[in-house]
Amino acid sequence: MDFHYDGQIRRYVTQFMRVFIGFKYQAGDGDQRQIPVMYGDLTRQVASIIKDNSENKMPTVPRIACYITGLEMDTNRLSDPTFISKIHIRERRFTDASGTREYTGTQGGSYTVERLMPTPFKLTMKADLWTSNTDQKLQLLEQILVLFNPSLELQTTDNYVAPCI
Amino acid sequence: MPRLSLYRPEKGNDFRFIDRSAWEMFQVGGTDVLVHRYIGTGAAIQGDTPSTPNYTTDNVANIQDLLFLENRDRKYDPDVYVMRGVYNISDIDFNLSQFGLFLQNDTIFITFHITDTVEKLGRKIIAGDVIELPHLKDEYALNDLTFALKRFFVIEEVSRAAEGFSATWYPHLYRAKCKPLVDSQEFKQILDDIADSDAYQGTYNAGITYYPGDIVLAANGKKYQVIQEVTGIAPPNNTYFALADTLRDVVSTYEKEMQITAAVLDQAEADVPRSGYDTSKYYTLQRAEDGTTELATVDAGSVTVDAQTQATDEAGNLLYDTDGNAVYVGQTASSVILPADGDGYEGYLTKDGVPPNGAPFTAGISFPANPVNGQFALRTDYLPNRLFRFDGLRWRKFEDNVRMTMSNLGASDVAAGEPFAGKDVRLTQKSTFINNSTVSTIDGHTVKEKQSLSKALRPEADL
Repeated sequence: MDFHYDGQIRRYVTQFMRVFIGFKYQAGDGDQRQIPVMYGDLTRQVASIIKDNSENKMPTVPRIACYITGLEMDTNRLSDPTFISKIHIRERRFTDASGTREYTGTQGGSYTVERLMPTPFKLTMKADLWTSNTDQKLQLLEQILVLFNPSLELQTTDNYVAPCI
Repeated sequence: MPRLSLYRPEKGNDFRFIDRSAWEMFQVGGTDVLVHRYIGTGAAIQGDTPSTPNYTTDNVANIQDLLFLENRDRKYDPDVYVMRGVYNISDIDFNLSQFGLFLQNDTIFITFHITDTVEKLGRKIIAGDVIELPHLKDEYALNDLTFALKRFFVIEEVSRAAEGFSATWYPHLYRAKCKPLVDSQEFKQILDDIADSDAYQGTYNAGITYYPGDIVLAANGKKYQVIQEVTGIAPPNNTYFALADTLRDVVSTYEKEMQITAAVLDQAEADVPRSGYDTSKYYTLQRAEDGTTELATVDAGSVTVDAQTQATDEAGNLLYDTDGNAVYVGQTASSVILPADGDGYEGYLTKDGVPPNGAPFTAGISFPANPVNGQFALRTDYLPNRLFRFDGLRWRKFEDNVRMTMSNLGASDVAAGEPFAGKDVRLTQKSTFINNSTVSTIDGHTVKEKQSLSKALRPEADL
């Protein structure tokens, strides 16, 4: 088969990290501080660059690190691998007026998109929280845990023709 | 003849002689240790409560949180004390963890002269004191700054050193267990201080000429660095002053980590700007009841140009085309096909409050007057915003905008100068509660609209 790569797992990792970005903690003097969220399986070379190649550079606390811990086929969700679904799309016509791609209110091209049954996998990810005291950890937990009610849905694209990828 | 004994119940001349000799050895053979003296706890985020009392005086024996037994917000003496210490230097390696590189065997044990310590600090060194070792400054780090990275440690334990006991059986040395400092809440006061303390010129004085590099304290309590020679113009002023680099800016990985975090968020928003699926670029054909394309006819409406309503964007700003002509909603004189009365692309979270085929609409908290057939109006007073279509008789619900922003950001996160400045605030029902900072006056009392249920409508104290 020819080379094919869509970065599907990369996009899941990106969206997983997005879930934890934006949380803050508040110190006693009222200052609020954003908490960095980074990939937890980084290379030594980049880790060294982040530390300015110096042992004197201080790590930041609190920190959130996200990383993959497992990937396995989810046989319970296996379906007919030969099934091809079709979807018909009419695009709006777009013009390049004044150098800008602009969609108009009239009809453009018509397409039929064929989609092969995907193979289901279960990706397991972990988010580690490092805090310097108990209260800080509780501040973070109270912000994060309310997101899961009862669960959280991740999307890796907003393309209408690919809702199942 | 008196009994021979080097031990005496009191510390006599033998002790003092040996103590001075030990002190001399530290002065000759030790290295400078700069001590940031811990002086007590600050206020807790919980305020003055039985378990987190606000102490009226600073005392190192105060405990900030009597429940979790931790001192999170620590105060340090602004003065720095210079002492001499001795420790064994060993080779170190880095361990790679999920939080980056950490030093292996990063604990050092420094011995201090007891009398010297007490004379200079006014007490013995204690856990929580922060020390700086000037001989470990790194002048060749990868940063783009002009000064060296300092090396900080925090003292975790203090005990008498075994090698510090003399023949009199009295101790002369303390042994402090020190761990590398991290950029955390506990050491905020130290790290918030300016990096280049030598350039500090004190409180701003309008009668003094300041030169590039000088740092002054402004009336707003912040410290600014002069970037252009200035006399008589007070900070803040972007032409002459910039916020001075703090110690955190220089020695912490925080800035770089936040840049990386912001880049990940940018990528996530580029991949999925909003929840659900985008159908706005697809075309929906308006069909008549018999299945044929429904064309606009002259008798479909008697519209005069001056009665037409100009379209807006979602924020309510009037729309013009590229030639500067107003864009009108609904059926106009140039309409060929009626605006679609339904969305041709059904699915999970596809409704976005935008009419099909990009048809113009008005946004506001009320319906526009004199609507024509096929006209769209987005009601922004609904949550989620609701799109209506006028079918000639009534405003019919077309769809709700259920595609929401997905990043966990509030107004304070996206304000100017913040790490995520300019991004969208999260808009969900939950965020309308959490991001609500409105304060109302009810019956003469100031009431925050957002309150924890554990604190809402509690009895007021009788005074």
